[in-house]
Amino acid sequence: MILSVASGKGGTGKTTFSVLLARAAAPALYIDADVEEPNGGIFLKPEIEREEDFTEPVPRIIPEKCTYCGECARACPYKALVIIPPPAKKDLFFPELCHSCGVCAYVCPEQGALIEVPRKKGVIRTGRSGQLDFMEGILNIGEPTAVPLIKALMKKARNYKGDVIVDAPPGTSCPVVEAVSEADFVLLVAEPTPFGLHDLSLVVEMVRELDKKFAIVINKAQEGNTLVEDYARRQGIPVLFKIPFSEEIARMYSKGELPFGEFEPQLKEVFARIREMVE
Amino acid sequence: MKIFITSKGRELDSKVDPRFGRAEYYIIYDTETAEFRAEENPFKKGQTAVGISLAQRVIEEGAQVAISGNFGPNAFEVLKAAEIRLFRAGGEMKVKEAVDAFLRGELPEMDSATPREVADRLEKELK
Repeated sequence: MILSVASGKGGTGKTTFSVLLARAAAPALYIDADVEEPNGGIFLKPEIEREEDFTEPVPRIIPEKCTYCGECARACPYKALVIIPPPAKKDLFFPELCHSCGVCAYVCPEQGALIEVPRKKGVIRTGRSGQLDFMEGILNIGEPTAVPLIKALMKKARNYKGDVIVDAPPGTSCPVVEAVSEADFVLLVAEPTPFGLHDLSLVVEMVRELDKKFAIVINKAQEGNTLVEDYARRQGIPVLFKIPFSEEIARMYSKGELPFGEFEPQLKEVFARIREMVE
Repeated sequence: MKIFITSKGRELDSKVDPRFGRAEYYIIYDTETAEFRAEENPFKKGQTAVGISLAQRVIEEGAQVAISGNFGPNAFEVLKAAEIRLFRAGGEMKVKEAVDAFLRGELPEMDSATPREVADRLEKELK
């Protein structure tokens, strides 16, 4: 079973909940797919066993074969290539604009004038944290899109023999869609504030569009604050868990710690319930 | 010789647009005939690579000189690679004034792109 943890708003407690749940679900695989700012490792403190480069193909012009016709540059939708025609005859490549779509190589009329070479765009690190398998993607700063790296992580999720918990990036844009694309179930973490509710409603629209089974988890839940619960009731969405608003948890979090033991029995039940809902 | 000038309007007494990639218009001025032509900058509302796109336009227009208030790092790199000379028309200079100043050799030539912090401040001031 692949379970993705998402939230519209950032800072609602996606990672907090993901790592708590992953620990309770172990043996399982935790994947930090928030590749622009992965921080699950801070709490899980894994022993990293392997680090592999994540590369994608980018163009390289071979000056001896290139006629500087400029077809590649004209076709590039991202303007990552510039061809200066004769007499100057130069080529410029802006890697931070390249999406590795390959259209430049496709349109090049000269055999061997434009080849594609791998360029490192990040790393995928794997290791273990107790009973839990750990994986995280780290995207290089300045890369135009997180989607390909998340796609690579989701492929690993699919091939894993066992349960997978995916810690998605915040928001509702393409990287988030990618991080929930393979999920059998999506948990949406929300905090009971007006902003929290607003962004929750956006991500609810997103998972409905993707036709996913999903439920809500409330973080920083307070006695008497029923903002998210009222919304969930109106929308017919189950609320599976609440993490209380607690100074103690915040204090632990700031030190890279979390009360794993305290929530483990309840979260084991939550996980079992999700499995029932999926089957 | 053709000169490429970023402009806030379509006339020679329009002001030079201090932004390169996001300029409103550009004017192609031919120093031999003293004729000019104005075009709307098709890239001004683009999300990314507007500087690179307009720099490619300079090359396509066959200009040998480009005048603007500022040149971003990517536009600068493209224009320099194409051996186009870049000049800065600061302040509130009109297009015609900038062309005349260039012909008299009074415009400063740019040997580096406008630093990011200067470009950001300028963008804020324009809003």
